[in-house]
Amino acid sequence: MNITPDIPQLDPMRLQVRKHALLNEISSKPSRRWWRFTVPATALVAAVAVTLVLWTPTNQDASAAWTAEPRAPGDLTPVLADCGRTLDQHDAGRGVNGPDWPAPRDVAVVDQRGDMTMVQYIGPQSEMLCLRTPAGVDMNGRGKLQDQDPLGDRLFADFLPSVRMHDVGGRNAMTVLTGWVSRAVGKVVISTEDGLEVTATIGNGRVLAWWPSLGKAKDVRLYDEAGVVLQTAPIPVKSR
Amino acid sequence: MTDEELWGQVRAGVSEAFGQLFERHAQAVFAYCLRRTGTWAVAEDLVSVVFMETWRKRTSVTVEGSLLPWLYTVALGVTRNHQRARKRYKAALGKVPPQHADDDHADDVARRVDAEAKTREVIAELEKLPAADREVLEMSAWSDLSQAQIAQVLGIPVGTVKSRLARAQRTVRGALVEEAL
Repeated sequence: MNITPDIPQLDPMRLQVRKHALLNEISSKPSRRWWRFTVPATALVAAVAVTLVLWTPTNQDASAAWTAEPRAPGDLTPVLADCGRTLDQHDAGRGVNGPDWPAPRDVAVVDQRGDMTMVQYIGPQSEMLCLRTPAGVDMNGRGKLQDQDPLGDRLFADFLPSVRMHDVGGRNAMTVLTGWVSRAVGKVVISTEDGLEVTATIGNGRVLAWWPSLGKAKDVRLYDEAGVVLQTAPIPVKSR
Repeated sequence: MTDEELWGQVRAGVSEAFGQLFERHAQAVFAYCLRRTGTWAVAEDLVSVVFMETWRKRTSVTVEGSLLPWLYTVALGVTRNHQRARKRYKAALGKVPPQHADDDHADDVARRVDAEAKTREVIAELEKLPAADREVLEMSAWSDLSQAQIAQVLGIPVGTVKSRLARAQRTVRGALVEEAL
């Protein structure tokens, strides 16, 4: 018997998820015995998928240009070029233990705030978010899209919005919310626990918003095109 | 940057440097934890625990050369009672997003199941040894550490490492030891 059997490599994406969770944990409450303040794991387990968290490790003031309202779409050519190169690098680095499928290339929604652009790519198996800032490009993603509940006749469905993370340097905290939204909805506003009112970007039936804090998404207000409130609901939206 | 340089930043509280060390050594820590526990998911969690413990003790630890000896020290401790270690960090581990879709791929699942099966066979064999001897043998076989470093990890003299290793060899004499050592 060989007592040193080969151990497969950890999935690179999984490794990144672990790293980000670790850095979030060590950055958020460095001086407290935080493990005694147990966060109910059920809040995470019950959710269908994962909120995605992006960061800009080299930009110490990445959120300075952030705005609660997304700005009008600008020229996306350089953004998509940069993100495309990063997706190519992701594919090239998948390795033998990475996902069998290539990174998605279909753009679902583009969210622009200040000088920062977030692009959501959707594929059959996975979703990738690309954040481009003046400091560079960063990317995160997840799979198991097939596990997402269809929107059905609901107006809105969010995907685990309550995950809070820090960036790699522990300086810039970001929370990202993704979800689906009905065609009847013209505007989506997210209220966070720390008092932000964030207008999400809607595109192709999807909704995308992010804010530069650890504040959890608390409520969502849905408006029609005329500005009439269609629904106000706590997040996560329970009415499946 | 070397581990020593990065560790200097870590001691100053730079978590980005700690992230680099995580990327550099997570696989080695994972392999060790999997071989000690025989369960993939547990080993993944223990990687997080090892690094959280390492961060917690950063101000009291000095690194000369590689961080790996210290990581193995922590990993040895958490794998001795991994249920308690995981319980201690339950809240933090609960925040790790669920596994990705690639879990579902048959090849990946097969690789993991195969690795778990092989490591459990080894664990069953090594459990025939006294714990002290087993830990020396495991550290010798599963890490690139020198005997001096193993002594440092286990907190015992180098001579004791040698004697325990020799005893372990005698105890599990045969194909097992010949292949391992």
